[in-house]
Amino acid sequence: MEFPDIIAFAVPAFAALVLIEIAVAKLTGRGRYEARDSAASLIMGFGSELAPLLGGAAAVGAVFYAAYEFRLMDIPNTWWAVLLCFVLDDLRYYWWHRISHERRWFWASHVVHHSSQHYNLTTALRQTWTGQIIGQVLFKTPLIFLGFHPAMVLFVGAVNLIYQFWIHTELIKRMGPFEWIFNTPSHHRVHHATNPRYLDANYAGTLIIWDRMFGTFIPESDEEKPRYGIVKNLGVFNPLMIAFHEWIGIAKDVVSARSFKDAMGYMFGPPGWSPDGSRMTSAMIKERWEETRREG
Amino acid sequence: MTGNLLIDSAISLGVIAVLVLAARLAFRAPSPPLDVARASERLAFDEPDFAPTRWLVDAGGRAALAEGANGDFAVVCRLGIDLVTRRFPAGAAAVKTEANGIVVVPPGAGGPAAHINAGETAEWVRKLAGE
Repeated sequence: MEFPDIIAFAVPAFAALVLIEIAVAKLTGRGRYEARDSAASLIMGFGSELAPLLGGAAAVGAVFYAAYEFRLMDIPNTWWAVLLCFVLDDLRYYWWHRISHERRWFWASHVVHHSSQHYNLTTALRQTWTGQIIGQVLFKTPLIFLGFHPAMVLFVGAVNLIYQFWIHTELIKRMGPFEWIFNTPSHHRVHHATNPRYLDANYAGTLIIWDRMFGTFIPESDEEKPRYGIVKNLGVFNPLMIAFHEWIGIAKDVVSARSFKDAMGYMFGPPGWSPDGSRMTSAMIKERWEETRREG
Repeated sequence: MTGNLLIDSAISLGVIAVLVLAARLAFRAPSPPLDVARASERLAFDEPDFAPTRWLVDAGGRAALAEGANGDFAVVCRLGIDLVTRRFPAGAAAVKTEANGIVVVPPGAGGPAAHINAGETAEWVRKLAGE
């Protein structure tokens, strides 16, 4: 079974869909674009394709090759294996994505994708330049070690990535029963929102069932429109700052840490963690919001 | 794609330019100048427990500076058609005095720099420095 490079085929479609979304958003008034924000997102996407060529792709390839050499079993390249691999890879994605929000070291890479205050198809392409090696090695290698061929694992990962493109839009409101099982624009708008009620939710890639199973599902409310971005939005469109601002923040915090424990907390604690609690984690923000709601 | 990295990169950058141009042409309405009402609304969302007691707003509507009831500060800056806020204690921000006003740069990487042209800023500068 051949596994084509479907990302290469999808890229022209991405560009066409962005143009269509711009036109529809303009005509209907549902959705908005800020040219500089879109430029930053697209440059980030462009850079994310080049970054692995600096050596990361070779390193990941070597690890995958080694893992496959020592695989536990031989899983044939059949349609059912692809389907099984896709579901397991989607579960892999859920946990990787969740950890990328819950631990600052991983958030430093993933924050890039959330750093736009807009939610449109260009936001989908705002991807990290860092963190891909550890993400692939830590979370995809087990599938290969299990016996799935590396090409199959990369193929289903690409399918998942392509699926996640179209859900970055405000043009599609609700999708009925499809939303029970699949991740949709509505579910993913919640994930990109900074409203306290929506924080830490909907980590799914393709199947929203993982959020429903692990208690992280929050539906979009008609009463509260999502406000997109991050808790402390960036004040620049500079791609270098978008790519590295959180890493700079970590470095500054670690240098000024008063103990090894504090340094570890700054690196691997939740984003917003501080030894004295003077900063706010998303859990603290949510708790404050819930307290206010109870009192009010 | 051609398989040649340079050619593929050039094509990609060309497509990016087309998409950005399309976005610019379709959505080119300028952002309205920042005023206290807009700044307050955004700050109430980002920093709900910050209680502004007074404001210094840029004459051109680019940014606003607020003093909080607890002696801390917040800036609200325009970024394209959006707003960005930062809250910080006295003494934490870098403050530069210019001919017609001040530039306030809150601590932290990637934050906004608030350019505020306003009449009397000396007292604000003192308070921002924590004096």
